[in-house]
Amino acid sequence: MLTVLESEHSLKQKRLNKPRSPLWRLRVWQVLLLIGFVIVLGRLYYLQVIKGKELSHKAMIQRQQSNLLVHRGTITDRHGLPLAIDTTRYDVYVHPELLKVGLNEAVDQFAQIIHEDRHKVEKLFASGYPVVTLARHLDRQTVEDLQALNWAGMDIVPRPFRHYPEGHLAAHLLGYVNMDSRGQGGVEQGLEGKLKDTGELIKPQLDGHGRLIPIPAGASKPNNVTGINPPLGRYIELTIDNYLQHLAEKELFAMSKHAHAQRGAVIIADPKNGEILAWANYPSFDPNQYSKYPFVVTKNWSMVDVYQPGSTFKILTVASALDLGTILPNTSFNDSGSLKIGNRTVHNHDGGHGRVDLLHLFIHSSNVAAAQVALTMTPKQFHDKLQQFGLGSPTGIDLPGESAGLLLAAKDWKPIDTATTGFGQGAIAVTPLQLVAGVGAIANNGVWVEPHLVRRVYDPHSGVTQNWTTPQRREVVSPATAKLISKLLAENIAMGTQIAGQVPGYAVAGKTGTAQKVGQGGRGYLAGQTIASFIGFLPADNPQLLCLVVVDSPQTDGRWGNTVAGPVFNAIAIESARYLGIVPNSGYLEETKGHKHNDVIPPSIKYAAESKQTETL
Amino acid sequence: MYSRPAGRNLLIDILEEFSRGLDIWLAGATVFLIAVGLSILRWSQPTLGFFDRQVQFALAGLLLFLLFSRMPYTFLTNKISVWVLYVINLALLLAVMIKGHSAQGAQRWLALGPITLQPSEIAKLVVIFTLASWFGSRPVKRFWDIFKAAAIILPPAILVFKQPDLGTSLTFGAIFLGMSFWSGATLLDLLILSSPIFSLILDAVKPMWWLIFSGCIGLVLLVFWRRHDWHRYRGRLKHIRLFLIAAIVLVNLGAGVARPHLWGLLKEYQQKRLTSFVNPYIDPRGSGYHILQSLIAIGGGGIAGAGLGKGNQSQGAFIPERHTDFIYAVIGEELGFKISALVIVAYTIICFRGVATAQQCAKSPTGSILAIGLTCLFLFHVFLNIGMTMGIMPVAGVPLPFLSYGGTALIVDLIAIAILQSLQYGHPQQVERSLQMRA
Repeated sequence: MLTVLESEHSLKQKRLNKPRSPLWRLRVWQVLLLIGFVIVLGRLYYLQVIKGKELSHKAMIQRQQSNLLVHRGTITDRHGLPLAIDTTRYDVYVHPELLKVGLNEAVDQFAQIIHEDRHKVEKLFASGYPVVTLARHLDRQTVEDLQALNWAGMDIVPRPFRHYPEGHLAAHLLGYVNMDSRGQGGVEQGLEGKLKDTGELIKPQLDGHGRLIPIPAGASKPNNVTGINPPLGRYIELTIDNYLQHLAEKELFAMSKHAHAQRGAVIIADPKNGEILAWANYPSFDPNQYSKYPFVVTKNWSMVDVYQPGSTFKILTVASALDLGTILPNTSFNDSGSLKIGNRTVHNHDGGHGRVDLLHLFIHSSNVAAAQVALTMTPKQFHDKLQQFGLGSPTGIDLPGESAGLLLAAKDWKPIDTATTGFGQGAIAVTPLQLVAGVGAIANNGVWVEPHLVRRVYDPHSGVTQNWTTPQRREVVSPATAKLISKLLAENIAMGTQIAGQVPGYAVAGKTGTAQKVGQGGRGYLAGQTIASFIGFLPADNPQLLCLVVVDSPQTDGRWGNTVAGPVFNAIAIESARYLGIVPNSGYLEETKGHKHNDVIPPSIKYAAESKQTETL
Repeated sequence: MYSRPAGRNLLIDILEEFSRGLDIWLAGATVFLIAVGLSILRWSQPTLGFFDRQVQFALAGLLLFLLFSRMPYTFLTNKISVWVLYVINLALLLAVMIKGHSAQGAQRWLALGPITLQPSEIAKLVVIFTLASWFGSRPVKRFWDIFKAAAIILPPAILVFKQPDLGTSLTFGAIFLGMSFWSGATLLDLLILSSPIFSLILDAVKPMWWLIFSGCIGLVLLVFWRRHDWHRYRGRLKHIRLFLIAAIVLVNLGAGVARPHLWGLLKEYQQKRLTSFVNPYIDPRGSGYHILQSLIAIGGGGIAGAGLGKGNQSQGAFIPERHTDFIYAVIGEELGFKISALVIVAYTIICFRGVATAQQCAKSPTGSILAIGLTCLFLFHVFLNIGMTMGIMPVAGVPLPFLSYGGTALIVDLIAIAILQSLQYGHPQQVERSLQMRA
């Protein structure tokens, strides 16, 4: 089809007919060969000389990928009662093709022994994989039944299994261990390294088929290994007291269920050394069955989420102003029930109280007075003091995922912000844990102590403590200021209406809080919804116990701090003071001698019938 | 004959006779490679009797080497023998298909009495002879000439592909490209020819690369395709060049589009092997496993190596096919950078000597092209195999010449060296000099 036309004198035609120069082709060949040679040799150099060390290390790791049964250390409370322990359970893998029996019989037998739905097992075997995972975490008895079948093609592999003997107890503090043997949340995650730290183990070296590579004859023992380390991680002793934890959870859950609250938290701490004796969160979960719960339940909200603390925050406002000297112990304020700042107005919940001093600021929980106290300070002064109280930064608790809370930069504070911050609704939002640490500084003579949950880490083999936790400390306010605030708070409880704080025999320093709840997304307040709280410590003159109760969105009892959170505090304080053997100090306040004590019934007793009802529902 | 001096015996005379005109570089590199290969088989894998059998094959190969190196290459490349060999070869390949015996899912071996042959290895040599004979009398002058020659490699390539043996079919392609280049095809011709294959692989790895590649092909052709090649087509077909460029780009795009269907011709493991080298970490326990293990082994060797039989990776059953396709990983780990680099140098020497031989016998087109074909055989195998163990080439499954265990392959490689040697005997050095003077 193509017509070849003659182009007689064309040089190009000549060139076309001439064979293409072989010498040029030779050079092309040689250059290409040289390039190829350099590439291959360069790659070899890169792999063996530059990356050599890294790849050798990889090879080493790969040979040690064994199913060595290494157990996590136990987590105990402060007295050694176990909260999380490791046991051995068995995973069973089946090679369907190696089974010497008919598939139907095999499915029947397996389904019966492992108590699994027959269809599920059948589906598993029909998946076509050469190896299928029949079941995980089988106990000893089931495994023995399987072994009694005496069939080929079953792999029964022992695996470490995490067990939480106390179920729900302190679930948020412990966290759980997921399918990949990794700790999730709580101490399990925060101290994963310690829990898995077994020291130098003699690990088997496996080849590509998983067979053991024998130790070469004449190999010497590694000289840093003295004796044999057991394949068991370090033990962790928490500051938690099992009894108090039970107590806190019992009272909090009873009240939260009764009040149909969204969530709640109780933190009991020793203000002197920052040890957390109990820390309950509602709702809670069972770490043995962590997968059944949504994330909102498994997260430790009282250190991850923030809330506006409301009136309990007035403690920090007054302490800051007193310490800075912008108010004096005898300063008083005019409370007309509302205070206009710019074009905004702050109100009390119950109208005006006339002339109020600092004691009556607390007794009436006067927002107007607290705002005036806050306004005596510059935003910078107030902000810096709050920062020293630990607001706006994580407290440093030994758990992962702690929130820093919110503390607006001082330059962004308008006068209205300063005023509202004075009663805990303005430029701040705290986690319950931060409030415990902050008020803890007042209880501890003005010294802020880092709260902590881990008492010590120790080696179960030798019994030697690896490290005791030593919390950080810093002085925030002068001891005199702290003493004065403690006294004011104690008088507040003794004389005021916040009767839930009263504990027979002890002078309790405390304050209620009924905060308006910020809506989702942080804009505006939710009408009618409150966060009821109570914080208090005892004995007021020598505090040994600090307790915060927060109940989010209660629907009963007027939704007040005093009526919702107060009874929980009361029940916990009475029982833990007795349990800890705290010496009574009722002589501390002259005025309260012979004061008639109002009985508060612990929520767990008052609402026992109710909670039974909901259980059965 | 000269009189024998006192104290010399017949053996030395024979050795002297055989070593006359011996290409010392070629022979030296070959001996070194065989020695390394045997050492690995002897000390690194003393089980299964690989070493004993490979020694027997090497001895047989040596005899054939002596035979072929002293035999004029024209015995193999004249019309009659080419036809006979080609037909016999096709028959063998067919026989393998029908009643060969298989190993690891591929049907590659044929039992003939006491010996087991791998006809696909022999096919490589036969294809080289046939192509050399063809190109010798019909050099490539036009683009279309290449396609006539391509018809030669198609039947054996398809038969081998069906075994399935992707590596060997690709080898045919590489040999073909190299030989047609030497015979007169331009680099652009080869690029056009091989571009659909690149398109296929690039599309499988990352569709974006395939589009870029197709575009680039069009641009390169527009700029570099010699205009005057097409000046003969004047008049109606004046713009044939543009049409062709468009057609080639379309073919490339089409290759990518049709890839999912063509891809189906490959076995699933072949598909994965071709692409997994780009990032073996995507599937470290599956398709990337071999590559990663090989990389770890080579890297673990360091400069000095772990010592023969002491490589943790090699001895620990991490390296698959450690006596055949992945033997270079064993060398890397157990003998270290020094010897591994020397192995690469040895292959480079062989390739350079092959190209030099081709130049040396430039007067005889058939001989010259034959030498290039044999060089291509080594070059492709070495680059693909070593590249594969080092993660820069896809896993296509070609043996490493002289090192991989395999009788037919070793003998074929030795015959290839012998023919290069024979070419040098047939065209002594002065031919090259006179040619250079003329040029």
